[in-house]
Amino acid sequence: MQKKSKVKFIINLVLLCAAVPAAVISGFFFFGSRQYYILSAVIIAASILPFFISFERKKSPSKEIAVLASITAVAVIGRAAFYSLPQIKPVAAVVIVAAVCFGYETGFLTGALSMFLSDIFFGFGIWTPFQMLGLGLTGLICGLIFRRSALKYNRFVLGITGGIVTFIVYGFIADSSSVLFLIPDFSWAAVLSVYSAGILYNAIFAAATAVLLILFGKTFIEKLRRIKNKYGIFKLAGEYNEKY
Amino acid sequence: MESIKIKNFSFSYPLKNEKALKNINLSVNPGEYVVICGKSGCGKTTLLKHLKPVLAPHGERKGEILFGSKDIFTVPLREQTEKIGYVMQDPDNQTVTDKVFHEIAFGLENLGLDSSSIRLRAAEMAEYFGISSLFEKDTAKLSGGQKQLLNLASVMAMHPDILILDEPVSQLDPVAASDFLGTVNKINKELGVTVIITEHRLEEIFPAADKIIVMDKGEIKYSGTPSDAGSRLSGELSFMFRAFPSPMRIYSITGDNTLPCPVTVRDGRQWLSSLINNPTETEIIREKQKKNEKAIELRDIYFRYEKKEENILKGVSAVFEEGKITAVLGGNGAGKSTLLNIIGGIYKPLFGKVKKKNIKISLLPQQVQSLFTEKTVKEDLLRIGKDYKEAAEITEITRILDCHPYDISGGERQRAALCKVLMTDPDVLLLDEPTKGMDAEFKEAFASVLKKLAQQGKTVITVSHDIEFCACHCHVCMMLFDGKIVSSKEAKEFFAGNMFYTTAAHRMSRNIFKNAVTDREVYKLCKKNLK
Amino acid sequence: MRSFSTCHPATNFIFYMSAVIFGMIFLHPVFLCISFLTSTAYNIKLKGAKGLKMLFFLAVPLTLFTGIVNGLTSHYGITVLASLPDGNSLTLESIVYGVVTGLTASAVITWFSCLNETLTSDKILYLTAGKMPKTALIITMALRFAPLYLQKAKEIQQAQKGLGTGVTDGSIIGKIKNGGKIISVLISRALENGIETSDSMKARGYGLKPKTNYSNYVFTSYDAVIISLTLLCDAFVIAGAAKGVTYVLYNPFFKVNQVTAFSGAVFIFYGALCLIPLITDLGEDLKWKALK
Repeated sequence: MQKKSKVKFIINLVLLCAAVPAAVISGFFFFGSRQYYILSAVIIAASILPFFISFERKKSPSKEIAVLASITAVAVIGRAAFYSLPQIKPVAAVVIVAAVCFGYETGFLTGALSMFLSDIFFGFGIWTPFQMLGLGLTGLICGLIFRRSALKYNRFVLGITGGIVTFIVYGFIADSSSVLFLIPDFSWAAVLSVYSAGILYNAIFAAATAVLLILFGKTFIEKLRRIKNKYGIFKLAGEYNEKY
Repeated sequence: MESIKIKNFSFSYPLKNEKALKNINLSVNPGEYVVICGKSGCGKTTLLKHLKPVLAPHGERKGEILFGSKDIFTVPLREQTEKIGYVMQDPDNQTVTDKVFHEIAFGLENLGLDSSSIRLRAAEMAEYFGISSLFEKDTAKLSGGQKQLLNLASVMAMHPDILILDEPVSQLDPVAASDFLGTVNKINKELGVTVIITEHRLEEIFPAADKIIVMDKGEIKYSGTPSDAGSRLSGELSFMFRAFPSPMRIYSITGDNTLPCPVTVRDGRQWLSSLINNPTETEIIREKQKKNEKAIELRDIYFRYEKKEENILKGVSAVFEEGKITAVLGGNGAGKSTLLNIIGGIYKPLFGKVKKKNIKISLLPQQVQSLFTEKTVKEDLLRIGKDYKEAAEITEITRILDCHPYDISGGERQRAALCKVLMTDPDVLLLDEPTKGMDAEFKEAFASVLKKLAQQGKTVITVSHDIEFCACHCHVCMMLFDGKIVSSKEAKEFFAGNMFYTTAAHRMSRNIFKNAVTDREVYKLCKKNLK
Repeated sequence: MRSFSTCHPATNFIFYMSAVIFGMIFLHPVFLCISFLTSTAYNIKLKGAKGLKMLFFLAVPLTLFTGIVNGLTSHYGITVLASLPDGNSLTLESIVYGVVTGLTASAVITWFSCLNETLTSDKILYLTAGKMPKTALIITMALRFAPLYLQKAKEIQQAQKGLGTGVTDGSIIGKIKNGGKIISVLISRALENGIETSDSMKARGYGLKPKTNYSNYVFTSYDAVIISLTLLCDAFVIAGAAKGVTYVLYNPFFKVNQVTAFSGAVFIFYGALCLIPLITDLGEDLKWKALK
């Protein structure tokens, strides 16, 4: 089972990382029309779904379900409320910490679900699947990077890595929806202009995430680990990690 | 209907030497209403959790618990879920879903009922519990009392034979609490469901109880009727004295055992009338308290949260003196906590003035968990300052300094929070419902800490629903109603004037004694008259 | 007739899927106008003044913006209107295509705005619960926790203030620090809370098999009618698209296929599809008046 799921997982990951650029490029070159948007949305849905399906198939004790829902709700609040400054939101920091402590799969679920849920409050849009994939992947990648490394306890390594991943992965994927949606005809200049318009926002978001992780990452991790050890939850995720 | 029989049952938590439950023998017949009482940490909750095996803690078990004729630990999950209902303490944390109807349906979905039967049962429950108007509402929008009723309804929807309640009303205000207990009573009497309940507020559940169990240090010390227990209060059950209802306490201190022990205020009145035929002394003469210097003065405070809402405070004027414990009483939503937050400077009044000297004010919030940020209690205290020893000794938490603030019991957490607040060395201490969920024993200890502070010249202002506590331990009581302070008197005088909003001792003795408010005062007058 | 928001979640979902997908891929001016006008009309019906606000403060500026930007940056097309200072020419086609992009975006955003009004969290849960019960459970729990934790976050903020430790200097780092502290306490409380909730779940039989999913929604014959209508219109529109009715060229010149009786019929079916929610809602209003 281990080997099979490993192969499956790698295929999944490659698919995921390739999904968005593939969708954008193929859309522009082969269709030259609006169809590419639909195509990319379908590809994104197809890359998010396997995680949820594998989660549905797994056996989860009630404690894992409740803790997952709890941490997702905290992330949602981190996006919904709190700061007077627009892009300083702890949502990515919470997702990254959840991924680091509870495994990359949980990280993906927390990220994707917190975006889905906050859109229930804010309203859905064409951006929803992109944001879900963006934050989900941010969680997944951070979960993989820190899956067993002691480095996660180095606040600077954790903070800076988290910030960079947030900037590149979340920023790029979330902005892809605007690129696909707002650019009438493909030109590199237009694509770049839309991406660069979002850069400032993404940079602030990523920097705030990095600062939060540097200042509080360790505290957050200790809190999650305490629950993990006290109640023996998300153990499977941990063991699975170790064998990887 | 199944009965429960516990035979020589013992239990100990892993890595702990002392047994949490020692040699428990108990049988509960179908349809009985059983009250389990005892101090915090006596093992009540541990015992209850063993009656719902899915919640039973890990540890070493000896002896057996029979559910009907089966060992309760072999009862399959489905049967357990259906037959044994369990309601917990915190109204918020046991609500699982976001909509009222979905919450009622949750257990039924797990049992695999089809939609139409779920609809029928949910409708039935909503009607019986009077929450049908809330059916499609968000659970987050419900009041504490409504939430707890919903939790009860969601459990009852599975049609259990046995209903277990672990301090279900400790987080509720008195009105919601008696509403809830009334419903439990109705379930027991009308549907014949067995009820096993633990609670600190015994006045309201004793009249309904068929059997009461008194526990101490993991052992059952007594099992019998409430009235019988009352007559042993001066003897073997003296450790429970403070927890029992007023009429029973007064009965036991007068030491007259010729008549049966009264349980309710009504019984108490009859008992008192038959004890004292023609009273000669009917009044307590109290010295007037001397006036101290003003610590804080409020003048015509107006406040509301949202621009479009009505004002919550509509011209509150009050004076709080140094060296006194002042209680602000009032109904639910009267704005008591708001007032406290204004005194504490967390909200600014819309209109009016808070006159105070340059003093340090600290607030102990209702939910004390909010105060803890660190890994151990000690680290948390060190955040405030280095010198934690004295405050830790006053609040008796030296034993738990190295524990995680979430691993200690509710009472201990309350103490640790008080310690943290005291370390800020406040001149004025604000307390928001401090006695909520406390057992009688700790209330007493808590009150003595407050009195010590008052003697040092500090000002203590508390907001409370706890009439007995305010009558016994506060110096001044104020009534907040309709956004104003409608009455402000010395505590005992305050309660002596009221008919409903007063202590059980006063309600019991009103027709004989003029102004006795506390148990001790009633006892004093009794003694004088019996001479 | 009954208003669209009282319909079964599946009815709502199928309609919005059709409206959003067609609205996004058909750039033919007639389709575009139908989609934009009907979505705006329904949005105004649902939200009143807020819907109008969306029209004037979102749709109109967005369309103007994309029109101007595309006009200034793309220079294809054969109808030259003027010469730009940088030597390129301003063409009608590039402006029109910019406007088309803006209108498409506005129409889709407006459809989403209607969707958010009618497809409530509860309906979304119903739609997820069938195939993904565990995910749906997490969503409903998180929906329940979010307002609770928001309340707790406020409590924490007040508690820190009341102790005199929640003071900040107002700088960005100060704000992050303060917020981080609140989140930190909130995480502890949320986890503790979650563990207690899990006990309540266990006590009520979580994990038993087979589990059912209860919903308040009943699929009525009215829903069947609306779904059939939606699918019928969908079929016609797709057939039309296959036959080239939706064909449009903006670059280098504007070109659409000749309007025939068939393409006219397709337009009408597309219009009927997009009007379904508005008509059901107006139908209910009329019935009210008739009954009074």
